[in-house]
Amino acid sequence: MEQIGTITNKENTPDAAVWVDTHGDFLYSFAFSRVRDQWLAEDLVQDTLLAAMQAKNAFAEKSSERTWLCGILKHKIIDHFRKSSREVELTEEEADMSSYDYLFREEGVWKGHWSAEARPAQWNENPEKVLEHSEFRGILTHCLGELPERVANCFALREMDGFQASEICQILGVSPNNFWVMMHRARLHLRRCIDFNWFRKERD
Amino acid sequence: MVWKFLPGCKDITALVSRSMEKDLSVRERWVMKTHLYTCIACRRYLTQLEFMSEVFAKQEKKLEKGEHAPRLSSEASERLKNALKSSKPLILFMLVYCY
Repeated sequence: MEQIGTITNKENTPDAAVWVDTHGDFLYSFAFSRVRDQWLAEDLVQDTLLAAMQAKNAFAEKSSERTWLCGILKHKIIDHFRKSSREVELTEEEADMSSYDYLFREEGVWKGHWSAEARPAQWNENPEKVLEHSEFRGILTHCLGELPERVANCFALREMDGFQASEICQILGVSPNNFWVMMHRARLHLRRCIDFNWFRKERD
Repeated sequence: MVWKFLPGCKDITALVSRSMEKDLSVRERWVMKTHLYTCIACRRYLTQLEFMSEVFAKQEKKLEKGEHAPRLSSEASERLKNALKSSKPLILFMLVYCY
């Protein structure tokens, strides 16, 4: 038994350590962009590498090692989302749109139209160029983090992973209607937050 | 006074958001189009949602190339390596135990 143990050890140890060195940063940044929590991201990477060690034989040379590991990580992240959203209905906090009421006029002839200070102004930026500023990238993460967790996850699954609405409803356990509510809320918030933290400074 | 009965920007922003994933009904599309035709703020809202979409997708591409990505701290990679190492006796133990 001991002999078998040393053999497996020799086979496994280098790979796992090499994975951490060659793909660790990539896997971590991928996980972090989804869950926005350092510890959780580290845990997910660890789970991924453990699963990969056990399934090493299943790795087909067709894809690169990185793609293969990232595939496992994606599953781990989605599993995490599934587990953490058992409730079907939106919580009060998630469904609360009243915090955005101030964006629109509440009285008068122009009721329901943009209020003077919240009216979208021109954004003079190029998506490619603006991403080169680390401050801007920080703002993206910060603004997503301000949303309730499931709302942010919903937006990330859609805009980062490109999942279809029906798939997201299934992962997060929400109805299509709730999906639209969450997306609308995320967009109202993100647009406002990015405008406030980045573009407004440029205008001033 | 006609505009009193037409949906305001508040309703239109919800429609604009939905139009990014789903085809609207003919009526909804008509309501949105006519509003956008006259409202520069909502037109900007739409362009800015598209801008955000592009930014998040582009960021994703850069991440894949390893550009501008947050990195594992050296302590974190040590922690990971240790966790991976220490898991092996556990797996072995389980195997032996089950056997």
